[in-house]
Amino acid sequence: MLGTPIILALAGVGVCLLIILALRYGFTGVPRLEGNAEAVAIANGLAGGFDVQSCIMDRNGHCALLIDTQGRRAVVMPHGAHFVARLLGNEALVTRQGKTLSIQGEGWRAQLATESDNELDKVCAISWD
Amino acid sequence: MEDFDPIPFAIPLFILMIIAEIAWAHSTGRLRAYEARDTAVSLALGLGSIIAGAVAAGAVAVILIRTHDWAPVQIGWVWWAWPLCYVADDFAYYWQHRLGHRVRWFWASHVNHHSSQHYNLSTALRQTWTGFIALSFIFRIPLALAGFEPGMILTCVAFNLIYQFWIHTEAIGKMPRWFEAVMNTPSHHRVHHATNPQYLDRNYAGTFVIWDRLFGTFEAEARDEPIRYGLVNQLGSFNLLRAAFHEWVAIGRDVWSAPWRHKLSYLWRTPGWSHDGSRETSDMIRARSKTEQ
Repeated sequence: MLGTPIILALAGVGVCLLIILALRYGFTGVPRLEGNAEAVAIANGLAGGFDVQSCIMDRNGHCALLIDTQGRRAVVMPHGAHFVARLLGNEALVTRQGKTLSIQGEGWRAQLATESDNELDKVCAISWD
Repeated sequence: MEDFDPIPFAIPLFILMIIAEIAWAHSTGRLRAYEARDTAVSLALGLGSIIAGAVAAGAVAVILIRTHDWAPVQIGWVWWAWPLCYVADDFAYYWQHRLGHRVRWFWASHVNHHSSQHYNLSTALRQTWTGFIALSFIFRIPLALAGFEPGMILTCVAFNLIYQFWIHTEAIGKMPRWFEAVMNTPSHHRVHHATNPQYLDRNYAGTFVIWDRLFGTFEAEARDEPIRYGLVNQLGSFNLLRAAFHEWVAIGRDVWSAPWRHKLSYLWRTPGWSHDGSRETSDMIRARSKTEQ
């Protein structure tokens, strides 16, 4: 019978091989949202529900900012090959630089760049308190 | 005690099958099927679980042997005991798994298996490091008490785990009808890993899906409903230690901050329960989803 150290060594080699294979085949990089509908579907899954009223997409589809009917805000941002939704609480730090909005929460950061100033003007008109 | 652990022999097969699935995902343009960091976390959790299992194996074996000594009947190593033991173990697994989703203490150990947003063969190896601490072995005690040999029980546990490897894939659609009716399949298990409200806490089966059909926890995969995998509150991290221990840390935080009379409830109640009603359990999410439709 094989001992645990030998099993671990063999399995370790296999693990390294698989990670290299996943990297070589290009299973990395930032995903793109396929459209508003995908961002809305992800935000709908937030705890307590999230009835989306408006959605502002990043121009490259890397991120989306959403507002629900109760005035709550959420961000949908990339995590690996998929996306996660996070509710923005009072602790969220939001800064604007030109057409780019940087949003920072507890342990995460997202950037949303828009085509026009108008879109960000609308977002920034919202009270972030 | 005679003992045979088939898992070391299955590891090369696991690796070959993952290679084949990566090649399939690449050749069919499924760029979201794998993610290198997610795969690394899944496989590292798998390696860690081998170590954790080896550390706890002695204690689990002693507990089963002592329990077996009290059994009114000693079944022994007769050939017909093997299929019987496998089915009995699968029944025990169903309840272990069901409570693993319905009791937060057990969920803290099992949650890392669900923390990937991917559903591929590497997700199957995303196994717990804290199964012994969570007392998962208690579900096998009735088998030892029924007279099954402890070595036979542990071998059946290992074969059940091996069976469940191949069902963690999107590469297989549906199996033949007769097979889907009796056995756990990729389709049934995709439902189990889904966060879609109607799929939450469904299809707990290990090998035989008949337990879900018998106990009312079966849900068939709908063709028109895209599945979202992972957790209701997605982990959103590739930190290995976070993946392994995040729910234990969350339990500690909740117990610490809860009023005295509610502290224990954060250990044994359903995940998502909170004393002030500020969170949602899977039942609440399902009910809300139904009213929204």
